[in-house]
Amino acid sequence: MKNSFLKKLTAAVLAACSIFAVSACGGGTGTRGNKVKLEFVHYWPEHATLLKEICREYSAENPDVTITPTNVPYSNIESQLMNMLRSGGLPDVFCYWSNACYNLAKDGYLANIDEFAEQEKANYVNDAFSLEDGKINGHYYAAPFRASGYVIVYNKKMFQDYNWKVPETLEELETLCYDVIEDSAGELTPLAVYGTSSGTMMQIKSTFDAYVNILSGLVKDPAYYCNRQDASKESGLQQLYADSLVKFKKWYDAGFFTLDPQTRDNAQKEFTNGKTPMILFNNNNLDVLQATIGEDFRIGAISFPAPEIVAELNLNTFTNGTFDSIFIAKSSRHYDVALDFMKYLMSDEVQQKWAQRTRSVSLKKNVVYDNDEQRNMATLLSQLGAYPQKADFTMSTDASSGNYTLVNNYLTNASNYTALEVVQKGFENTVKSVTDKILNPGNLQMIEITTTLDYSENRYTWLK
Amino acid sequence: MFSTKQMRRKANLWGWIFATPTVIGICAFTFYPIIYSLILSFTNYRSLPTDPMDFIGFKNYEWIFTESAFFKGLALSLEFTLITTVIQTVLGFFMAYMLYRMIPAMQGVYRVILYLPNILPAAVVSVMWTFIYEPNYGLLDTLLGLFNIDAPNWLGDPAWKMPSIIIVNTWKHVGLTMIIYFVAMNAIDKQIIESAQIDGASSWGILFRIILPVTWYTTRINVLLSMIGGLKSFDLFYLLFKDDPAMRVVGLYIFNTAYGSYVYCRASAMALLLAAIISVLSLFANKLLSKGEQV
Repeated sequence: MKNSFLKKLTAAVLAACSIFAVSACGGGTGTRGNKVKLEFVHYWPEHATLLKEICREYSAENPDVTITPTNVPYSNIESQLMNMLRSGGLPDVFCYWSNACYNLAKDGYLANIDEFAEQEKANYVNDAFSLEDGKINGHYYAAPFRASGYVIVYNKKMFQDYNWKVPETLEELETLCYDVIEDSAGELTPLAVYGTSSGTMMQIKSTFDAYVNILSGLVKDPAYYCNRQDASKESGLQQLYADSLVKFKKWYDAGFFTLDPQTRDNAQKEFTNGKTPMILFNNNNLDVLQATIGEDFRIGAISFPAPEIVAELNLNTFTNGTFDSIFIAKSSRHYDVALDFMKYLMSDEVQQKWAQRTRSVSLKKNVVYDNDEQRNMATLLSQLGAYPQKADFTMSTDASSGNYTLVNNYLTNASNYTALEVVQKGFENTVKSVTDKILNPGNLQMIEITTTLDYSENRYTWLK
Repeated sequence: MFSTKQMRRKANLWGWIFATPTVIGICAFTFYPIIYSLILSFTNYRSLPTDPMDFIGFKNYEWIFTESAFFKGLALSLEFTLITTVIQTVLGFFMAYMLYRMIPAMQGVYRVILYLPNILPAAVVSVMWTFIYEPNYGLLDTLLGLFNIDAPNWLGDPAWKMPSIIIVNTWKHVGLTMIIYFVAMNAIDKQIIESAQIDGASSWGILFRIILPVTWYTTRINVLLSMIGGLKSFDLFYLLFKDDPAMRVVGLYIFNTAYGSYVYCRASAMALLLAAIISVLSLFANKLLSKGEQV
């Protein structure tokens, strides 16, 4: 009898557990009593303590609001946000990149912050390039929190010892790279890059391509903004991209960079061990680099220099990178509170504190840096976002990795394609993605380039 | 007084009540995902709640055969599977035999040591081997440097990428193969071995003429486990090579389609096709190996 009762009890408990286990999936933001609970997701685990402190201070000023900051590794933020979206909605406030928000904004998952942007525009540096980067279909969605760009970090002592001049133009950088190899009898690799096929080495090529776009005038074409410019009728442009690829290979063949270091750590070690005098590095990782080097190891930084002609023509230069920005989810039940918290994060006081503690580059005019390095970095990154581009289509992984493979194989002589064929094949991959009905259901097509592009030879002598 | 029928009905009822949580679990976490994947594979659903979900027939399957890199990934998986299965089974067999011949006290120690890599998470294994393989500063590079041998760029050189991951995979999984063989070897009647020894059989003779045939059924299990594991392999490739297109095995390709391009419908179609391919290959291998057993 007792046994039978126990069995019934066990069965009832197990059944109840299984139901509760399923129903427990959920939770999130809400209002408990009169207290508003905001969910805040960021991708800066290295600055989690500071962000907690900022959230606590906000809650101290606003006792009715509790902020729960959650950090997600930088490399997982996209998939985490997508998972959140699928399982109930985006967090009230979250960090993401301005240049990657198009689809979220287009599909109506982001709250627009037009009012904030209009009010704050004047307080942003460089004609508020950064705010414009988060503008989709006439509305603002991203509040730029800090600059995130790639710069060339160099070893000052090595430059002094070898009497090398810090390059100011692309031509000077090329000459310097030859000098590094010659002066060290081939012992040194001029520039450390990292990652595999899509690593920072690809940024060298994308910078060359960017200057082709700037000098040809493509950046002014309406199609350029959504990255669906149809280059099929522009044989001149295709040839310029091919020339850019040939130059990239010339740098690789000359040993300016290698494909050996697989990770950022490896590339960093090459740099700190004096095997390479320069490294292509994200400005926000400089504190990590600084922490690994001794006191006598002094570093300097320059932006990837532009060809001489760019300065002669008085054009803006190009810097690879984007803006780490703050977004508000449209699904947030506390838009006003979320907006207030976002304004707090963007306030001069918090921006100043953030810049001071993390050595980041703020985009607000009133932030003052107490050291030359940060001041220099702010100048170097001033052109970030000068040529905004918002791809309004999804590129398939087949196409993007296919394009990287094409370039990689060309670089390492693993394919028989000519540079022009590589460019054309890459272009075909993009077209295939754009016109893929499942990837891009809006019946998207490539857009004809309507601007008359400038192919004057004197603009491209740096490619030869 | 209860009749037998009533008692049986009551027992059945309690049986069902006890089984309910498990049945709910299996339905929710096994059958539902399979059926949902099957349905997804015939739609154009991408991933977000606002994405359309229309029936498009076999278009996703057509795409696999015409445009995708699915078969390129499958070829890479097959190459990896074939090599790892052979190495793992042969090595596991000999390791188990070595263990079998040891004194019991040593057996306990070595069993734990050799099985240990199998219980380590793939993330730990990959971090460890990344350090070992690291060019210039890694353990292997340093060791080979002592003999003035230039180590290759294990994870970077196209010629070394596959051998490198096969070494890691074998190191991680050979312990399980060994344990399964070891259990089977211990189940062999000691009298058979002793009779053979009295009849003058050598150690190799005992190994190949008695132990190998008697444990053939275990070989079937080990081959099938390695094969299925190899074809489904994903974690080590992902952790060691990330987005390297040259090492994109079929599992990684499916993952990239689902979580890189966020095209769930195509990823589901590919996952189901892969499951079918694995089933067919497993049945084929099982049939082939069972013939060996009959011989």
